[in-house]
Amino acid sequence: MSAPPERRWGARYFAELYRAQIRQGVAVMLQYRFAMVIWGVWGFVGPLVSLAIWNAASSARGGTIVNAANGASFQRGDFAAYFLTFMVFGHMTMSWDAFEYGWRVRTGGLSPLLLRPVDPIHADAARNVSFKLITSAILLPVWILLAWLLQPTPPESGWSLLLATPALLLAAVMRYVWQYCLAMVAFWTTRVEAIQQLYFTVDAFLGGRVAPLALLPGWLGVLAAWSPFRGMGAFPVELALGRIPAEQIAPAFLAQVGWLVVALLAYRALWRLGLRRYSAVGA
Amino acid sequence: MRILHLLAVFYRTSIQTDIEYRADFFTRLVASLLGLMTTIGSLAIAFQYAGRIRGWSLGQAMVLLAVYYLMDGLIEMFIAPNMREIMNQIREGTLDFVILKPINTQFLATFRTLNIWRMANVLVGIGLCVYAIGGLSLTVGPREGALFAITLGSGCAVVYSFWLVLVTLTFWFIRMDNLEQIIWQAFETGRYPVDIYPRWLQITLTYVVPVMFIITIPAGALSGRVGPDTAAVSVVVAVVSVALSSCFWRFGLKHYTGASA
Amino acid sequence: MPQIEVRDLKKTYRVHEREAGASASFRSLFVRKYKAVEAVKGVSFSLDAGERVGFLGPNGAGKTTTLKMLAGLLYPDGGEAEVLGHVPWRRERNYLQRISLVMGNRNQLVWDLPAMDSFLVNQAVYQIPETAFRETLDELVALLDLTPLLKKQVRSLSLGERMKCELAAALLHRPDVLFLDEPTLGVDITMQGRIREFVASYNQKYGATVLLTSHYMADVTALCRRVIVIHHGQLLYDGELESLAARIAPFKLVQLELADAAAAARVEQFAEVLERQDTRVKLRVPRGEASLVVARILSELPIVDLTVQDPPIEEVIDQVFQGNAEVTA
Repeated sequence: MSAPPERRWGARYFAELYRAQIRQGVAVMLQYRFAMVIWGVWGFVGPLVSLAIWNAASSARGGTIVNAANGASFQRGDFAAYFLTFMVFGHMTMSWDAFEYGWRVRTGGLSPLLLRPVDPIHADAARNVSFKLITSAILLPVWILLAWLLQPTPPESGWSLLLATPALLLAAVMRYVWQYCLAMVAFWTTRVEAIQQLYFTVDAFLGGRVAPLALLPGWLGVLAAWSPFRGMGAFPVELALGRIPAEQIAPAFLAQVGWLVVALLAYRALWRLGLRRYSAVGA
Repeated sequence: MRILHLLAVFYRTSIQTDIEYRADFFTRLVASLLGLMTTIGSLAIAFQYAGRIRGWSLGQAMVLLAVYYLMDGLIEMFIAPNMREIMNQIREGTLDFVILKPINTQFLATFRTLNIWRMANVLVGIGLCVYAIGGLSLTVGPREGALFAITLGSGCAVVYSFWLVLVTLTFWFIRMDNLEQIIWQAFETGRYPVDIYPRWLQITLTYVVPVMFIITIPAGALSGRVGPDTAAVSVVVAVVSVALSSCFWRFGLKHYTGASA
Repeated sequence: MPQIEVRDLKKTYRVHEREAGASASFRSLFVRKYKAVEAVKGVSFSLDAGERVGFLGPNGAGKTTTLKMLAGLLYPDGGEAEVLGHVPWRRERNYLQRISLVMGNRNQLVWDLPAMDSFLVNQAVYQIPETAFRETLDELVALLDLTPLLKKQVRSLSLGERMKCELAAALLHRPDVLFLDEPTLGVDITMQGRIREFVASYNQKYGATVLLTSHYMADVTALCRRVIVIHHGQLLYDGELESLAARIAPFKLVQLELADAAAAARVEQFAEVLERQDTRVKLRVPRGEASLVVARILSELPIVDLTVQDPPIEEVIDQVFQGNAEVTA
């Protein structure tokens, strides 16, 4: 037998891998267009409900909500801009692997994926990207319609949008890896649902989904500023809308990167331990 | 009497099978409590800035939330498991066995099982109800009690009819799971008072997905915001929707037996 | 130098124990009780490059567990293994790149798409250069007769058609070692034959090592000269398929057709009777005494017809697994 050809597992390999996986993912999802759109719209409901609450609350206060503690002030148009942007960014950073892992572990569906020379996270991440490509194309008109209906206050300059792009990308990767860590929990317990709900609850407050972080009560606001949830949720949104003072931008980016590194380390550890565990109960 | 006896038999058997899955109950309970925290928390934050929102106080909004959980629990316990089963049977063609039985098909098909561990949400709803009423120091007299019972009963009837229509549609359109998803999403909005939504959504939530009759009105009755006239309207709506959906079901069944014969 | 080397491999599963009663079930939410199940209890063997070996044993014998350990899906609890110079469960990319495991009950093909789409993804996953990919694909398509299947959605294929596509997907990267776990499970007889022929030709063409488990003895007899038999996680036999019968079932079957039923009744004095129907009798005779017994029967009974055979391999294996035979290895 001849010696096997040398394989390189570098950036070019992964670029090619992702290209192929994304193509496949798009092809699969095109067959489930309708379900995909429903999944996508699912993400709209939360921000819209939050917006409705804050709109109603602000009308009770003559149109403006002011947090006396930190001077943050929001008018109807600001709320609309915040939650509309949150809706779009929320969609871009969405991830659902935790829901599937339990099934994979229980049925052994993970095994064929383990035979490949790359870890399954790459195939899964590619699928996530395919989903966003497909649904964004379909949901774009819906966003435009909503923007027209809700009349958000536009950001003061286009620069903030440009600056928000890397923040959004980081947020998407961050949330993806954090969610994947959560998915790994399926190796140890069959009750991922409750844990997922806990994550969702904490994220709702600390990530800025139920209210802009500036309107949270003091202690919750402090907690939010230090948590990883801000970087995955509210930070890119606030940045895009130009609501973050210049001197706070760099530290917030650093926090994103820091938490991403933590997530990556956690993922590696959990994946290793999880595989052992998976193999202990029988793959 | 015969119906009560049948129900007892149906439910006893399904409880016996469900006993196995009791761990499910705790998972649900934890998930429900966390979901509850999210909703109450988000309301509490908004209420910090406004004492009343569209005429609702935080306490009243909590009563509403309690009714939401109660209804969600009742639906998942009694209605949804049966309706999903019928959809499966229609898809797989096994509904014939149900049609063959010498009892009212609609009754047999729609009350055959219950999912006992979904009781978690019912308990959460009742608990929150007691807490919120205590916190509001509302006096729930016989008048409020009666109005609540009447509107809640009507709400259940409306939900039942709504699902029955949905199921009947399966006779023509085989795949309805996506529609079910959409309806649950609409139902989710019922966690909050319908009044906070824009006009078009309020209309949708009143007439298309009748969250208004299912949640908002019973909650209003309990917190003393709904009078006998509204209660009367909800009863009429309930009777009409049960009658119409039942007609539609029979029409669908005729179509089904006609097509498969 | 052997290509697959397994020494004293062990694997114990932890199985969650369910207890009855409400309080026990509540407790199990927090503390779970586990029971240890020894699936593989110290198995050793080695395979040379290019060998085709059948892995036999009843359900739960530990075959699949062993294959999964060798494919890097499971960590063993003891022992060593080396395949192609790698320790499988380290899951090195360069190792996974050179092997394949086909499981008859699991699929790697994407359900909603034509198989071709999955092949293209595998091309990227295993970084197969375009020319090599086309070449291998054409060959697989010809050998497995895939042309009409490639454009069809996998979910609309029959079980046998799907298995052919699974095999193709597993071989696109030309693995040097191929593990097959029940590759013909549920597949009809004609298709079983095709799959066997295909595995044999792949093995011959590329010199790949093949380790195969199957419920169908025909798969093993057609493909493998050598078999490894395990039972209750332990090695029972490792050697030529042909001599397996002699080793673990040291007897021959003698079938007689006698002139009259009365004579048939007297057969019992010569050897153990397995079956008797009127004038037809089936005897079991120890291997060493076979010629002697036959000679006596021929001289003392009115014989119409007589045949001496080795017992069919299925029966031999069955006997081993039911504990009726002792291995004299």
